[in-house]
Amino acid sequence: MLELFNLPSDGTLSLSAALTSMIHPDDRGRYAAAVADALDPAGNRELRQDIRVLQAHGGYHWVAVTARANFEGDPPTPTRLVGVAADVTGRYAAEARRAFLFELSDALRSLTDPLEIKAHAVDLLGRHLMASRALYLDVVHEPDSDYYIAERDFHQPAVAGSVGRYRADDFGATLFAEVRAGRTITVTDVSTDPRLSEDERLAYPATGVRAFVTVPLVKDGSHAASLTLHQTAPRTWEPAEIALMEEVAERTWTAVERARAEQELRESELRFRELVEVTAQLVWVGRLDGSVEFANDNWLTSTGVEPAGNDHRSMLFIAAHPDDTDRLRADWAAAEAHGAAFEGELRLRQRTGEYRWFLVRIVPLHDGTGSVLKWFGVATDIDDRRRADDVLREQERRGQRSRARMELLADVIGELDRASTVEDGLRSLVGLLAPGFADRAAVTGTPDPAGIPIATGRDSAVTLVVAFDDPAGRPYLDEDLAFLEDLAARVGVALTGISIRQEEHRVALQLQRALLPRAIVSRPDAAVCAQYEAGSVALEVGGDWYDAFTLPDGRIAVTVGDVVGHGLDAAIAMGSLRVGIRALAPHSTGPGALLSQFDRFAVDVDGADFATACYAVYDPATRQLCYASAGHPPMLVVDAAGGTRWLTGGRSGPLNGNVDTDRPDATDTLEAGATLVLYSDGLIERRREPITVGLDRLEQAATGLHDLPIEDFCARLIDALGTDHQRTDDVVVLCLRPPSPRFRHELAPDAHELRRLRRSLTDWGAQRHVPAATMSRLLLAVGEAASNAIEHAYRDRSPATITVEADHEDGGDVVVIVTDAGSWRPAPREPGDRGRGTDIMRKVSAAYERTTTPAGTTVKLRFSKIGPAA
Amino acid sequence: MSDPLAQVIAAEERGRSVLRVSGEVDMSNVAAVGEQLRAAAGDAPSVLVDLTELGFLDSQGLRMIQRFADELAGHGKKLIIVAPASGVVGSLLALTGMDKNLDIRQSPPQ
Repeated sequence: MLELFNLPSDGTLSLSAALTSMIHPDDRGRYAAAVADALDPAGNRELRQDIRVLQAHGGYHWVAVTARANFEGDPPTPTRLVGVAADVTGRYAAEARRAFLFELSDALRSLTDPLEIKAHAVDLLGRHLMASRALYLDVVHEPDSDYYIAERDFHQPAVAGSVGRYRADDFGATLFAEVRAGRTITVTDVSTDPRLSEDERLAYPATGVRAFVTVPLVKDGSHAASLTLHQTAPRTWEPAEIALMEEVAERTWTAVERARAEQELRESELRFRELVEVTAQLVWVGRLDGSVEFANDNWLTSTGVEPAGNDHRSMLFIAAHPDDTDRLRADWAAAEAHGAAFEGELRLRQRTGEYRWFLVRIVPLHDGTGSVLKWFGVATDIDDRRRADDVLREQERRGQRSRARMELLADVIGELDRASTVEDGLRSLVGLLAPGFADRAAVTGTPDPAGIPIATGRDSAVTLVVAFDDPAGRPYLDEDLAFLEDLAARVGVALTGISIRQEEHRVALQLQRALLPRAIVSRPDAAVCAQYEAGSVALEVGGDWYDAFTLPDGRIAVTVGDVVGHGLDAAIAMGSLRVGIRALAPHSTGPGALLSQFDRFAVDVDGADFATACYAVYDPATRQLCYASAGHPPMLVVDAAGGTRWLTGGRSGPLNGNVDTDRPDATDTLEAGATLVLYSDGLIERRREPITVGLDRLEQAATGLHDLPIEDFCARLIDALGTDHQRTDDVVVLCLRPPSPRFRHELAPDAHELRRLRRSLTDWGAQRHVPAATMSRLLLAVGEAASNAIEHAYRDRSPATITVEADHEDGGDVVVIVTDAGSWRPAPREPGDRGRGTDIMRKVSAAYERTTTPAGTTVKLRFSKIGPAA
Repeated sequence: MSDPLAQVIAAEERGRSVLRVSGEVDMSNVAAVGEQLRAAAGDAPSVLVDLTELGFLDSQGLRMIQRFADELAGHGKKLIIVAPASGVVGSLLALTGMDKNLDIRQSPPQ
């Protein structure tokens, strides 16, 4: 009994002493009053009180005291108070626990601040369990150690507070391993606890801790918080106390977490609203039934479309640009069908009436099961960006167009440089403009207000009209017009230039044609052929002349000359000189003398400051040629076999106004079948090429063409020596060819004569320019005819002569006649072989004819250029 | 003859007698050329006459070649004639139809 009151067993302690020292201060008054009542004789003389009594370990036990007072005497005087005391701590604890937990729950429920919850919980618990300190520690995991943070604590007035941050490892590695494992640590006395090291035993009392309990809260495998009670004196922690602590720790944790979550939610909602209202974006939330749950002020301010009462989709459609709504509707339907996010750029009408580009994102908000709860829409104004993009794109397009147009312009001007007529130039222009600039382009002679006028000459113009197939896809812009006007101006200048040159050229050409001989006619005793080529109009009209005429004595004069210069002046000078030569020639003693006289004449001709000329006189009777050259390239002779020689004699300087009275001449003899070639320097000259290269080229071409008839030779020589592009000058070629005589050959009836016959025929054929294929057929047939005659002669022993004659007929056929004095008879021995020779003659000739008379036999063979009859 | 109109150069190549005729063959030398060919052909079982370089051949020359071919055939020997169709002799052989019954090649067989 006594130990209940923690009294010394010797009974020396008085009640008053016991009251003052043993009973919990809160209970002392009540207990003292109850005792006084029990001792009152007028009362019921009973004592029933539950009081807390200090225990040896420092804690209190609830003790139920039941006593009866004994009185003696009258008036009765209390003598003794006899009763029992029972330890009812367990019952009290259960009740107290229940009451405490109710109180705690009530207190914490109304709190929203986690800090407040923690503070309140430790305060209630500390008081309830009469701890020196109570702390709720949040655990922070740092790389070096865990840290415990106490934001608020409960402490007895005499005990120092413990708010702060603590390093977990400082509190004893052993114990804190337990804590981390989620096991509650109970220490009755730090100075004797064997789980603590010597240092730790000293460290704890320094902080005023002799006993403690720590309840760890391990959440998701991690030490999240602790509830700790400290006692400044050693204390034996009752299991009920520990259980209560664990309960409180758990409840506090739950309350703190709930508060935190609520706080976060509140904060996030707050942040959301704040964000949504301060943001430049238009934000709205649509419910599944289509109603607008929320739309920020920007929506209304920007679009003017009232969200209230509207469907959130139609709200967007109302604001969207009509051109964008179809796309929007389709995309939105797809997003809605899949519960997927919608994103698109579209124009939204503004309150002001203008449209601005927005990036619209509508994102579904899902519940836990994945069903769409709401649609969350955000529209971001990207109009400036779009405009900037458009500007950049437009600049890029303009840049590309501008570059393309510079190239087009360069192409057009380049083509016009090459064009020799206005028509060619316009054709090039139209061909380049479509498709280079437009889909279609045309020029018309009739003025068109929609077109661009282009000058084509001093007093003429055409109208350029361009068109685009798709004006929407390719608008007609100011810059297009500017380009066309610039183009028209440049083209006009170029075309006017062409037009002027064209006119000059046309006049000069007409004049030149008028001034040159109409036709050069061959004579029976000399074939003459001339070719003049101003060629295409791209060639300048030059001052070349040529002429061939018969002198009074029957000889033939030929001349080619060149007045330096181009155009009208040169053409006029050329005409004067040609006429001058014709006038002077009959009276001059020779070519050199003529050129000297001509020199004097040329001085008086305007525009003939510098000219070259060659002049030759050919005598058909002797085939003698007398020639002279005044600074002109040498004449060329190509013989019947293709051999060439330059006539380099009779040379003197050009006609340059300084009269040379002593110009020399020279002579040559033209073989049968040879060709004399006179030409102007345009035939041999090429830019950036020495004149000797041109002369070599002429020599080679002449050799290659030597067996052609003179007309072909003359024309082909010009072709062979270069195209229009390579030639910058006009060209004259004049050829003269003495005729070769008809063929006549007599042979004795001797087989060995046959080879000489063939040699003679071959030479004649070369002079007559008989083609090689024709010649080999001719040799074969004539050989057969001659062989027959010889054989016949052998047989008949008649030593008659065999005659072979050949000549060209009008029209170009070669006719050969083989005549003998005997008559052919079929050879009885070998009819097949005789037939074979005749067969050959028929087959290789165009016509075979045999006539036998008593005087002899004549075979006539015809060969055409085209080939045999068979 | 100091200035022979035609030459026959004989050789033996892979068991075949090869006779190359150049120059011209006409009435004056056809018999002599025929003899030269017969002599040069010898006993070879196969004879090739190359007329690529022959510049002239008339009907008498054709008769000589036909006879030579007939003789060789009579002895069971084979005659091959080389004469490009574009040449003087080749075109004559074609013209007279002799290319139908003679073995004529465009170029020497390898």
